[in-house]
Amino acid sequence: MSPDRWIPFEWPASWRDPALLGLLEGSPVNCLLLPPEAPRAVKEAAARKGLDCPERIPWSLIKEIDWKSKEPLLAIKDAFWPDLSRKGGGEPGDSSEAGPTGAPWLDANGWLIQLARARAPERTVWIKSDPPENAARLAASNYQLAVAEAWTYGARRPLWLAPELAAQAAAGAGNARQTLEQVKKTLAWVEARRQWSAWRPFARLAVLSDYTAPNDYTASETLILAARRNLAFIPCETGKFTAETLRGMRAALYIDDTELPAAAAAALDQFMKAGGLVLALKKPAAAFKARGAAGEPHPRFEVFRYGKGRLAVSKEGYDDPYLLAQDTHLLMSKRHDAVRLFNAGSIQWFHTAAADGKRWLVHLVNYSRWGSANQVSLQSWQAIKRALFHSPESADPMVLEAHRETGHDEFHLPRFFVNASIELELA
Amino acid sequence: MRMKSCNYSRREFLRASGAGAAAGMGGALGAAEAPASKVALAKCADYGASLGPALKTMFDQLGGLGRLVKGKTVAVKINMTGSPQQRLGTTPAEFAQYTHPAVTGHVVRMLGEAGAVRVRILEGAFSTGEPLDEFMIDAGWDPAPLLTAAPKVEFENTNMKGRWGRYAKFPVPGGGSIFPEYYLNQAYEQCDVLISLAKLKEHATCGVTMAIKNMFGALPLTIYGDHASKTDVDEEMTKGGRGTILHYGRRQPAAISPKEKDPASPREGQYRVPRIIADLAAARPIHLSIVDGIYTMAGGEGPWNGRVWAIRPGVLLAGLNPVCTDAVCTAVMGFDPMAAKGTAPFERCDSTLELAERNGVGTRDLNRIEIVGAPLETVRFEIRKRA
Repeated sequence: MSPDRWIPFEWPASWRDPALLGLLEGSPVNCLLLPPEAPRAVKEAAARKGLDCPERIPWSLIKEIDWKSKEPLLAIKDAFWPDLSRKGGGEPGDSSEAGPTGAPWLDANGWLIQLARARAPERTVWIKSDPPENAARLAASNYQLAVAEAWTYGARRPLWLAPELAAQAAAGAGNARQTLEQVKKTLAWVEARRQWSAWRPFARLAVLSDYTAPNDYTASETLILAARRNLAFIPCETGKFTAETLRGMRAALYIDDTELPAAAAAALDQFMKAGGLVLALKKPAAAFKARGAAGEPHPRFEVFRYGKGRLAVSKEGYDDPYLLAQDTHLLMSKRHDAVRLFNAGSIQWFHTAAADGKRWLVHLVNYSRWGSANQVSLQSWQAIKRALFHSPESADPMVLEAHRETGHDEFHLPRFFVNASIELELA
Repeated sequence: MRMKSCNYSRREFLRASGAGAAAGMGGALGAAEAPASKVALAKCADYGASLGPALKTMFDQLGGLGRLVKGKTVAVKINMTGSPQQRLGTTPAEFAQYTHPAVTGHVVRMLGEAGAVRVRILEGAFSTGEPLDEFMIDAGWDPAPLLTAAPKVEFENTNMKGRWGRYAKFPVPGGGSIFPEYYLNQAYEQCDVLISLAKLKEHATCGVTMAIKNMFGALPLTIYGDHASKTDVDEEMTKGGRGTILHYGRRQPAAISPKEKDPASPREGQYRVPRIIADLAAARPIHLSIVDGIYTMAGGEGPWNGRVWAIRPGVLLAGLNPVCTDAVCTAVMGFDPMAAKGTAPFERCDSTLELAERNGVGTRDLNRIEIVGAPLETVRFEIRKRA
């Protein structure tokens, strides 16, 4: 079986009995990641059931990823365990850390998976993380979130069970078995929709960088903070970037303080002349000559007219990735956000489009793992013919009633706790 | 009761609006001396075709917009309280907590038609220094029609000093209850006419919120916000709300503001906020109050309040004096505007109306307020009986 088809499970070290393979029945798991001390009998039993047990997974730290490797797996071992961040801070009684937006920080991995898939599109991306501090108290929804988050962005996270849960499940504890069944259900649901991972990300912003030191910090922090404000983006490596990359885009943010390769500069030149916005530091912006003031006073950028578009040149450099993400979003304008959500709270969304461009998927990941107190609505300024609500929490897809107003269509979403996907058929 | 006269001079207009309080009248006036001014009421079922004519009729009943705004720069403070992406259930914010953009659009258009040379739409948007038009987009609105509703329309998020070189200082006549003066974005100073374009709502802290309370959102987050600098104003500090400093008095504003007059005074929003906004109404007079009560909400001022629900009173109000206008609004909601603390809607707070009346801004006594247009009893919407 090729690694892109592996649906992996981290076999708990405490599971010594091959009969425990039975706990995976009914799940799509087809690959066991066995600990070194796993009994040979387990491996033999797995082989009899047709499960792959790879000897080695090329896990790597983000900073040490060999992007040029031909390994079919790109396996990142220092991702976050997805959750609301609980690193402290905030007001007394507020257990979640507040971010610069005032909204809670999220320990989220969407940006990382997007970056990995953009830089190594031919490889299969896996992520994992150290066990969370509260591992013994994780609920089914924590595991479901971990599975669903990776799937949403087109990656896989090997199914992992906290040692306490694994031991209880092995001992036959009803609650633990129930938790495992719930997680298996989510895993089955996402794997049945694995084809959606081939849909391309839909965004109006390209973030250009070589994504290597010394630019990697600003580049990755900007992606994180853009994701937190639900500013859809596509990461692009400068060296691989072409005019085609910018098709449908409204803005391109160039992170690095180095001159652009000639081909990239030419593509951006054409992009601006056709109406696009480019944000850049002074040195690379020097490649673009024909300018006139755009009459847009800005505290951190000088904005110039450039053909039908604009060039925004940073005055003092990109000191603060939060402000950079915000400035980019506002200079581009939120009017180019393809969808917006109301009452989304700690929900992040990832927007993809089918190859024919006629259907969109808006994947929703709820990091609070709790249904919103107020109903969540999705709005699009694009006319929508039909909307379907998919979720592992609902038996069947549900047709959403369209609320059509002047200039936009809106859909009120059923309550969901962990994840859902809205399939939109464009009019 | 019908309008007696629409031949107001601009001086009379400003006097009726309570502008005299800031023009050196100084200390508090007695209730009997506080200015009285007419208030126009109109039934309006929705934000469709009947909205423009209803507004026009009200403005005509008040003496016409032209007398107030011709050749003038007009500031319109709208109400967009809270996050633009937070809704009461599935109810869009403009049908619950926000001034509806259709009302704003019609008002701006009429201001232009009446000869206003510039209209600035203002709000201290929740937890952000982003441009106001981008904030509107976040609410799902298209701001473009507002920009073209009159010849020269601008948006300004007044949480910072913005395009202006400094903040404008507004001393409170008589010295003020909490702070002796307030600092606002200069758009509130560089205008000839200030309109408070508010929503008709109950309020968790102040009992009710209309034209006077609407101005609370004018206080810049850089000075009075939860994350304002403790020393010199930091123009980047625009996140959070106005709870820490203004509601609860947990710390002092940025150093541009004088410190509180009495640090021993109660640290309770129900004591502080009514005083702050009553003082602000005296310090920065409102010339025209317009209140959108067509669709709104009951039980509080936003979805974040506990037990709240959407309602449709179908009423518009306008007046030249914010206290008089708010008094009539209070009556429309089924409350007694003369009610004191302990009585609905001021069960747990001081009455802003009473405090503003004491400041000489205007009377809350319905016996002294001429109501024109729809009779009060025909538009009364007993808000607490519609749960």
